[in-house]
Amino acid sequence: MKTNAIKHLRITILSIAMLVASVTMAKAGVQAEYQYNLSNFWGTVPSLWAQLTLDQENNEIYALDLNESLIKVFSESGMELQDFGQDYGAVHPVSLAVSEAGTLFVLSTRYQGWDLFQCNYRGEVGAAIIIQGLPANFGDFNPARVEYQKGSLYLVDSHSMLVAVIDLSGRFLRGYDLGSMVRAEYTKSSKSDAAIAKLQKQMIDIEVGGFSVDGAGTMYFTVPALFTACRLHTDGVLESFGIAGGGPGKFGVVAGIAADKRGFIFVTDRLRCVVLVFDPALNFQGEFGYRGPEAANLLVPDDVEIDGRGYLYVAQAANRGVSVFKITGLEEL
Amino acid sequence: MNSKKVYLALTTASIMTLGISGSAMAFHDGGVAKCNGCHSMHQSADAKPVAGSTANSWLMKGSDASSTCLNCHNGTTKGGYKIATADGSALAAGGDFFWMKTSWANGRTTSAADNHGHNIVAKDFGFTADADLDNAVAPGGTYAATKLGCTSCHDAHGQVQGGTKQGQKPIEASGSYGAVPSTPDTILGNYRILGDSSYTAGSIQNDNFAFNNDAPVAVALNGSGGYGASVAYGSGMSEWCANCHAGLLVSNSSTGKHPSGNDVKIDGYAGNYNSYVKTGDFTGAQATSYDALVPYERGVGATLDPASTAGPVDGTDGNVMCLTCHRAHASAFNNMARFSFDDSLIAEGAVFAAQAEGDFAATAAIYYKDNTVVDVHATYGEFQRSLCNKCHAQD
Repeated sequence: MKTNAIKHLRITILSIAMLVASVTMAKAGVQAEYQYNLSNFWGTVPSLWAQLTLDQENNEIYALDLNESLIKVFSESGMELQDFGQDYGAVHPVSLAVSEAGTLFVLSTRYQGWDLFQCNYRGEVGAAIIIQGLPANFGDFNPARVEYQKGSLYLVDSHSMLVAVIDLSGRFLRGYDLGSMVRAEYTKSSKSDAAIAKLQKQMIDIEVGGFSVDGAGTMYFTVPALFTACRLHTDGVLESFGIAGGGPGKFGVVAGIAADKRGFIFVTDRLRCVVLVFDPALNFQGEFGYRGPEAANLLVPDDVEIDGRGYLYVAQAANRGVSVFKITGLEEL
Repeated sequence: MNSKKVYLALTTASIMTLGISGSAMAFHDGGVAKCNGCHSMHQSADAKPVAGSTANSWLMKGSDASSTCLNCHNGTTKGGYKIATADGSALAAGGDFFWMKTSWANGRTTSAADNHGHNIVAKDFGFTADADLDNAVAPGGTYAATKLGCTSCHDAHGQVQGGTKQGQKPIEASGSYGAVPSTPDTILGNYRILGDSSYTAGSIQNDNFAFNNDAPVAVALNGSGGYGASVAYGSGMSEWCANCHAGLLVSNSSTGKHPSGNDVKIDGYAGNYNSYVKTGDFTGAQATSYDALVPYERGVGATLDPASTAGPVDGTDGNVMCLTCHRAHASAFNNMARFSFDDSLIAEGAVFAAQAEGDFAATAAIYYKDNTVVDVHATYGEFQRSLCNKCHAQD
């Protein structure tokens, strides 16, 4: 009897310990609780740095496996519903976006060019979207990422750091030269032309890492080589944040970035294997994940998305697939 | 029973930076970078072990050395210092490790991933050792395939001849871009921070595999042209490869192997090289004959300009090297070749049909040089034969 009681007590303690272990305390009030990995009936669906796209309306998540050129759709409980792309032939999707109506917009690249086309919810290819009215400075525009917000598509060329915003018929609405903005931000405190020239030389090959757009049209992106994350408001004001380093709150190799509806920002760090949380005032709130073998750990996290329920999706390397965390406590700040 | 720990992220005062600080663009800077770029002093939090490797006592931010490197050098698409991409689009002269995970086939031509390049082991990024038992050790050598990684060739600490501990002067700048030390009593790093004759190579830098030959001399184009997309080779490349592939370094073909090395001058082949433009076109001139798809070493003491288009001068300079035919990291072709060895007409190579059928992305760079994808049809013509003919003119 006593043995059973002790056994039950140990089991209880173990259960509590495991529950606590799944909760990574970022800061008092902010919590990230590991839920599961995106899975099918055979278990975790493996992938290396899947590109994530959230269907906000249905809380479904799309994971594009770049290596397999396969798009998988998962339910709001993380189970695979379907996949498509295997019969696209020579078309290799590199990014996709989804509208409120459930229309998919697939960006694919090809030799010396790229294509953007619509798909229905079954992944059946529909009309192509031909972009019109690109300005001259977008001459070599070669996007590899697409995002959707409120009737507009945001096409991102990570290497030239240009963003083209188009409507659903392909008409160019406006553009952003993120590279020029970042370089100006980087050199604004320099006191001499020589110092500026030196900094400019250091920034020749900077590029956009992660990119996202929130419901208000505010853009978020990372510049890994500068250990920087940025928020670009619709009025053109650029804010940057981040300090290089290996300690809590500091940037190693930053990658994906996403913001929730309240403006809390989530930044993944490949090198440190964490997700860093910042509040709308760009104050560091905490981080979670860390390299390790436990389910709640992360291994080289990359793309990240967060839905309206506070479920955070993080793509990883090493075929770890996509981990899902429940973020709570932010409203208490 | 082990209780599991709660991971506490320590937070201090709010960190908000207006303005940008720091740049990774000179991370290695020719020598050893900041330690916490690759190492974690306390495993980030609470001294947890690094995942995947109980033998990793080097506190690396990766399951192995190569995974640590690829935290930065791996990318989704081409760009700058990315030498492993998700779509094979990298244009770095060394090649894209994407091909090490990509097999393709068309008709009777098969091209296994394992045969595309150096089979580095990087657990976090899905790179595994060569599965071909014939390659259990390096061809022409003894280096174990299971130990192959980035640090088998590259000294992650960028030391020159053992570093300052061995009496060397401090490294002022990278030795990859043709800089000249401007500060007295300083030196440049090795080209591409390759290990030299004081280096003991290994996937974990401690396998006690001693190099005998020094790092090669070469100059890569820096900056907007791509890091290392254009390279002027000077000398010592074949000798350096022979650190592991000694049996393949021969000075004449009587051994049944193609000769290469500092002493294997282009000599009598310079005329072919300079006049050969493409199959059937011998209108080339020495001033513009250099073809980066068939590079050669310009010789000891030569002026190295990665932008130079000049070809060899017969008998006075220029020697064939391993990289004349092979890429250092990987390529789309068997035996990590720069161009197909398996097609009679390279413009109609099986690799293009495989690409058209979707074996790999349309953005994958198959033939490329000087930071540009080469349209073989447009550049060399429909009836271009193997680029071995650049020297041998047997077409």
